[in-house]
Amino acid sequence: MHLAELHLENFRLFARLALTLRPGLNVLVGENDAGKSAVIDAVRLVVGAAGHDTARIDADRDFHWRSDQREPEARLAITCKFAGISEADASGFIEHLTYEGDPEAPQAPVLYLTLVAHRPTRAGSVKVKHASRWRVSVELRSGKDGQGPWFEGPARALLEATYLKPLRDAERELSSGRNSRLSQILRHTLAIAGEDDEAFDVQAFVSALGSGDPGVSLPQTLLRRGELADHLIETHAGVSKARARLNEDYLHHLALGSDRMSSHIGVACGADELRLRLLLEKLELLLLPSGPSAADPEASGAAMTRRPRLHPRGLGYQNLLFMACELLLLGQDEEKMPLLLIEEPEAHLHPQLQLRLIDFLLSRTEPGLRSAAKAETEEAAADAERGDSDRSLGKGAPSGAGYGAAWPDARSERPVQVLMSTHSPVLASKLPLGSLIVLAGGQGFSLAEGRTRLVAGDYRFLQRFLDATKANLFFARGVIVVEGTAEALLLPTIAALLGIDLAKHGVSIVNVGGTGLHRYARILMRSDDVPGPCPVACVTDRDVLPDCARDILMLKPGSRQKTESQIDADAWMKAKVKADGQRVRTFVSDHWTLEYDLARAGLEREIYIAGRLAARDDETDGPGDRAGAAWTEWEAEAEQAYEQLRADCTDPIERAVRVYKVVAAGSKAAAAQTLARILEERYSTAAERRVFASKVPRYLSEALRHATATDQPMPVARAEVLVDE
Amino acid sequence: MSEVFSLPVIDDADIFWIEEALGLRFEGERRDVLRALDSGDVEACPGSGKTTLLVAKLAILARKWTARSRGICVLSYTTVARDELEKGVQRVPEAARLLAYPHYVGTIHGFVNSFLALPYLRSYHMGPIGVRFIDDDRCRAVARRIVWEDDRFEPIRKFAIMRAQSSSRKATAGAPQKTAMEVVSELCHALEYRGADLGLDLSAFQLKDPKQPTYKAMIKLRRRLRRLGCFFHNDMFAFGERLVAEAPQYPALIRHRFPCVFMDEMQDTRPLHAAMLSRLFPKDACALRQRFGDSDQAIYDGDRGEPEAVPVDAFPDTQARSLPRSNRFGGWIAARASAVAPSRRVMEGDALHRWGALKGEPTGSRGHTIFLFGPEAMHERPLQAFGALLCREFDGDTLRQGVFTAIGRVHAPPGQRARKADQLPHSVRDYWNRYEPDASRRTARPRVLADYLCLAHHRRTESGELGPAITELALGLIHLLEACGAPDFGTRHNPLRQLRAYASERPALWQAMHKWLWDCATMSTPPNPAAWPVIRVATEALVASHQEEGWHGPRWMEPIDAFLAWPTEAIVRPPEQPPRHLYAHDDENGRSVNIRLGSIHSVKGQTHTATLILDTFFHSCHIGRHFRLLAGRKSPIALDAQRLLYVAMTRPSHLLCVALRASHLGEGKAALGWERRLQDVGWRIERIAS
Repeated sequence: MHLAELHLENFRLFARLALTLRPGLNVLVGENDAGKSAVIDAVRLVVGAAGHDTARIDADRDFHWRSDQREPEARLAITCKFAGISEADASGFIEHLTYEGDPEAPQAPVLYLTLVAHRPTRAGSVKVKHASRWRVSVELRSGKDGQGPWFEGPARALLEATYLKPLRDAERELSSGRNSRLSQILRHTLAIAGEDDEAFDVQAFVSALGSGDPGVSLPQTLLRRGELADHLIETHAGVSKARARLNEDYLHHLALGSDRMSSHIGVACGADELRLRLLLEKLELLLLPSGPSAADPEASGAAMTRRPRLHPRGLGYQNLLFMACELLLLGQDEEKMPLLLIEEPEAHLHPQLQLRLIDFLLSRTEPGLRSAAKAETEEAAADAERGDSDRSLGKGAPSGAGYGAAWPDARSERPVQVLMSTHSPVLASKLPLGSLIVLAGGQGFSLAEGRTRLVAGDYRFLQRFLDATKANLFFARGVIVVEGTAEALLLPTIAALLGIDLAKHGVSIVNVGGTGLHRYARILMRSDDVPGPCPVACVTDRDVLPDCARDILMLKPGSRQKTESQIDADAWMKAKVKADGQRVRTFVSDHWTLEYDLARAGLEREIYIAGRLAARDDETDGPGDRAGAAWTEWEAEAEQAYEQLRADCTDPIERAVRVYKVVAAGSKAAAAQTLARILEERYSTAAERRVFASKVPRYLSEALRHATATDQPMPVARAEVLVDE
Repeated sequence: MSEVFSLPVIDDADIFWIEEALGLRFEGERRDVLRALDSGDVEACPGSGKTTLLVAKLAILARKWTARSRGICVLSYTTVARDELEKGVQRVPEAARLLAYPHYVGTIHGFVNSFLALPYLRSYHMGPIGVRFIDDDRCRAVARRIVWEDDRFEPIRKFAIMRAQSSSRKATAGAPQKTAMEVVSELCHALEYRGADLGLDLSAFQLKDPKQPTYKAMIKLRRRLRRLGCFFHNDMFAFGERLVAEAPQYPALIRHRFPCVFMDEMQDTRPLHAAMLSRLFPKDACALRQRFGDSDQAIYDGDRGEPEAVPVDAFPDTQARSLPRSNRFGGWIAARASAVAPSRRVMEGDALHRWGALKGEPTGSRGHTIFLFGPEAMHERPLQAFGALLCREFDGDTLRQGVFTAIGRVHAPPGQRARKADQLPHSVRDYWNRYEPDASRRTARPRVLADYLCLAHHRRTESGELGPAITELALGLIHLLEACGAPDFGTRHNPLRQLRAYASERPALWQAMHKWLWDCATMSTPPNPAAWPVIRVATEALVASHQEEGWHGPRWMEPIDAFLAWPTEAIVRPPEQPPRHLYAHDDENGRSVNIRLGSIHSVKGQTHTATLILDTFFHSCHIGRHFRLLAGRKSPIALDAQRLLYVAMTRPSHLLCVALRASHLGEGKAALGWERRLQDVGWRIERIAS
């Protein structure tokens, strides 16, 4: 059984939200305030979470408040739909199930749970205004639209999820003490319980031990061992003496008449259940310092004889330990639904550890599926690490079983459904793309297959090439997809000079290199044609050579590069923008490449100089002063050379091709970097920037405006900004 | 799913625990039944403490129950039995959790609703079907109104008129003529869904061709009712069958959820319901299925002549255990009743200790009396004689606190049928003409507003609380609003909340209703004709404010007038007037006793101190004709009559009396012979002089 759908209505920032969840891993990504925690809280409100205070609906904060209304909505609803219901689950919730599909095509039953809360409003409480002022009425019912019967507490307990708070204090949760999470986990762990040896007699045992009887054996159950320890403590000489003194020297003198008072100092006692709890609460869980002792049973056996010195490890490792504990518990309770809610598991973990965690979660949620990171790095993974894990975790596992042997029991346990939120592009990039759900603008966008415009091949491709930098796009409010380093480096500068602050607009530039531009664009395109989470601008080259370029660049006759005369301009363009739609638009250069088009648009001089300087990039690596001096000198040389070029070549097209040739001769990335610096230097005043704006190719400025969602009002707004300056 | 459910074991320690908890002892065959964990039926004789035994068993199982998503299912047939079980279970804290998930304690109807019908309706493939109410009477009322008001159902009206005319031509004493109104009512009975294909059974009206306009109109009417959310009880069973047909794995899922099933009152379970139960819980597929009942007491309320299906999985099965010892009465009553028992099972009376409440010696031949009367001494005289006997036999405390009843098979006076002299006494009313059968019914509901106010006043004085009074008044208000043409409120559950929801958009109306409820509930005097005009004015003002702004419904006021008037005869008596089903007898020494009149059906499961069985006429025969049974002789008798007699005879704990028309015994010598035979088995014979 797994949570298949989640519908929110008027819950916090969501007026309406519908999410589809997969049986395995589901990861909520999105910027801050996108509603990641709201989604997880909504699930907690419906199913409850083990070991935590019950989530409550807050009359002030949980009801959606539309900006055009004077007060929050009066009613909120959260609906969870559970699918994949096993027969055992079906019988357990049989009075609550809904059978979808029609008689001809019956479908497996599903379980709907709907929580409806009403905010106290003035109209609702005519007479008893003050009494019900803060009381939110909450109803949890089953059935589609909540038309079924009440969902009772004991039934709800079976759906209880395991919830890991964000930035939780793992150290405290794992330490000993009253109601510690560890004691709760251990109490549920069946291994602790066992056959009770009620016959155990502490007195007899101690006397047998004293007489050196070889036949004595320790009691088996924890409870009896606790009794033994209690006995030893109570009979300790110091304790006995204190007890005797208290009784004889004080209490007896205070007693009235024949009423002899006497006291007993002993270990607290009570019902078995209570005593077991007290015992378990004495336990704490700490990570051992890494070293051979942890892996080698003999060494660790020796270490156990003297109490190991334990240094608590950092918060990150404590977090890992805590999660391991919770997963242990989750995997053991057969009757409970294995749903795990985690907020920001990356807290305190460095990127490599994050990846390891994700890999572990994946092995629990989607056996047989490993993260892209693992697939990619498996060959490269240090053999030492592999050997390590084999030794520590799976002695019995066949050595040839590969990496899977590291989680020996992953397959035998029930797969767990995980709903997790993250801020980490590292995690986002390594997770199966289909498991991501992008939250943006009060909407949810699942990236599962079939929900996006991506086809199966795209998923495989993207899984290979998506990295942490590119994964920024999941957290952005606008995306510019570019095909080269030059664009990636230059666009922020151009935007800044145009008065567009990309950072302020939350726009990410994703450099996809030479391949797959449209695959990236399709990530955020929806199969149902609703507008995606954010605008996507794809910037690409038109890649058509001017006719004269062949000779100037001395291209071989067989070159596949096309010239203007070789193409059908309309069809060519159509092919370039074929993937456009929804909020994705492709912006194509007017002629050939970025550099050529910049040159044609009026930045010829700057491009030429940047190209010349970039060629000498290696030489600028000296000490700052010399480099600075040399720079000025070279820049002047380049300036002269450009004047020469202008004089020699009057045809703007031919000249632009020659400028491009200079850039192409060196590193385009270096040239772009240099160009960015030159542009910043040369267009520093408001007046200069106005000139610059006229020299920027239209496709670039339009792409910037699209990505920042300032398409329409942009020109006016920008003019005002410039006037202010 | 195939794993075998391991039942908790019931050992002596458990039985000791529950004996301590309940303050009882379980011995002999009761202990065996308590301990039994095989799926066998239990035949429990009247007063055998079956409910207590069931509660004890449930408590033990509940205490040892560990599964969290599987539970125990306890089904009863009537709400009375369900309430009794619930009360018993609540007495033991460990057992009280049976009333929550994952267990189920309730009626068969409730079970079918919650687990089959409602899930089916919620999942209906054309979108969920809402349920406003499940109530046969109200459903029919709605259907009748639609037929007479909506011209689209003209064919049904025509059909009814035609049939009424043809019946008047063929009218006989046995089949009297019917009005069109009555035919429509009969047609409305046939609107229940039947079977998994959710069809209607119109064969009783010779309607077989689906193309017939009447047939089509009936289907349309049925669809209308469904859209309105009005359903019959039996519809729910049809929906259940439908769900099982669509999802054949369903019974297995139910059994997995409820590995333990207990069924109470099996003898009352109708064939339709029993078939559903056998389908869901066949004996061999359940980890534990125990059915309790007494086949000798199988009597049905209001026989509707349902086709007797071939009994599959009939109760009791061949290996049934029995609980033959009654705690209710002593050996003599046990012996007399055993002679009447259709199963010929011999039961033992174990209740000798109870005789302490009586004056005199605990002998078998004490006052168990057969009153013989002639038609001229029929009215009140047998009741007087019974009263006199009670005053003789019982001390003052017992007379005040005991339960004394006089019951007959037919309690309602037969309608327009002709009564012949030789058919007297026909019904209970013939013994006391002021008897009003409705008053003894649990479900007697007010018909006019004044009734509601009387009832509310009664509730308030009875409990000392305002809550029950407000509930009655709110029901009256809902009745009033519906009469004014407000949309049907549907369920009558939590009426105050419903009113509030109804007026949620109109705070002023809610305030007016609130004030009305408060004023009526806190009246210092019971409603009386003198004070009535004030209440009527207030109520009419409320109706006026209801009809004004935001009101689009019809404005017909005629039915309200009757509803608001002070009735010439209120059904629900204000408490100071003697209720019309209690006959009071005062003897010359100033002692008095109240005798409750009613039908045999209405006292099922009850225990009385003393019972007088009244001779009544049903179909073609007086029950008294079978007086031979009372003497331990055989008598050819219909099974249902025999069972009724058995039920009636097993009610009293102390004293059993019978009122017989003397003519049954014959004349002269024959009569004397029978008197002697009756006296031989211990009856006292008392002839009531005219």
